[in-house]
Amino acid sequence: MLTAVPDEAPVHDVWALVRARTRPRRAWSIAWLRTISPRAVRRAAAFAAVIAVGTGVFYGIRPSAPEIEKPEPTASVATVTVKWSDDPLGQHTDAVIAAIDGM
Amino acid sequence: MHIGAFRRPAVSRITVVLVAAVAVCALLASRAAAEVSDRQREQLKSLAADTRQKTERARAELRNARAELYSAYQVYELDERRAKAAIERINSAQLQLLKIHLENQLEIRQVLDSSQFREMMSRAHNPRGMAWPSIDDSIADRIPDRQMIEDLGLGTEQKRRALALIGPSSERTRLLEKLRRDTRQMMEIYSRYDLDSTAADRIIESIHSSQIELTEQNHKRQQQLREVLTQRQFERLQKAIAERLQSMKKPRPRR
Repeated sequence: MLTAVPDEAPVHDVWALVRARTRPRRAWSIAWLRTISPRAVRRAAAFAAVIAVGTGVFYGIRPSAPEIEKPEPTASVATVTVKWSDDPLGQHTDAVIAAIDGM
Repeated sequence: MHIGAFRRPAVSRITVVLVAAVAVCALLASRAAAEVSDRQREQLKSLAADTRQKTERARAELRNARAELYSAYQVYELDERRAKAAIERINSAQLQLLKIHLENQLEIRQVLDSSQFREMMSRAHNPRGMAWPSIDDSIADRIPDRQMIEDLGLGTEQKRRALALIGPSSERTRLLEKLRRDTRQMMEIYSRYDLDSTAADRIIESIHSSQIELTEQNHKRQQQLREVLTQRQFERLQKAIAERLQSMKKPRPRR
């Protein structure tokens, strides 16, 4: 009787469909996080805390570097301004420009 | 009574009125001629803006180069290459300014006629316009002074040599006098409508050669100062100079 049943394969690969439906949809990293044991998390947290405390202590206790004595400012605006001898005709041009501005 | 006795005053009155009318007409005509049109005013304003921009740029370059040279002179071990580069920049900016002024003068004459030019120049001269230049270069001649050298506690020979380096040298005085003379001459050329370009070029050359010599003299003096003073003495002198300049900058208390 069974020989009468037609030898038909299912149209779809059922297992492929099952795998597609049951594949974890979250990002692999999140999935990976789920695999981390609580013990490892505790260890990492403790390690980070130790590093943080160590850094704080190091920078807090370490004596500040001696301030380098800055030389007194010797440059003065008075010495750096344009002298008359640098631009002896400057006043003339400035006066002419002022006269044009006043027109 | 003679008829002429009545006529003469009438004739002279008519003459006076006519002369006055002619004078008024001439004055009005000259005013009208000197009046600058809107187009000319626009051209002049544009020229003034352009000249102002160019002079400001050249002056800024000059200030920066002077500051650079000043910094180079602060160090005992004089960096000749650095100082020379700054001097080159100063020389170039000085010449550029002289050319900008001449160019501006030539351009003004392209826009205005002679009567308009005279009118504008009279406005530029009065009341607070162009004045004879004030010499502020004297600051370099007053610092360092004798007291500063005395305070260094130098030996007799060293002090004699150091004192010889302060104050205006005869060469510097001569150069400044020449510069003043050339400047006056240039202003006279600029005051005339018929600008003599050849004469102007010659004076620009003379002014610039004085400027170059002044800067070179200053550099030579810096070299000589280092030959006379030790590094420690030099640094003490620099500090004294800086303090003096600072005190000069402080505003005077009001009474």
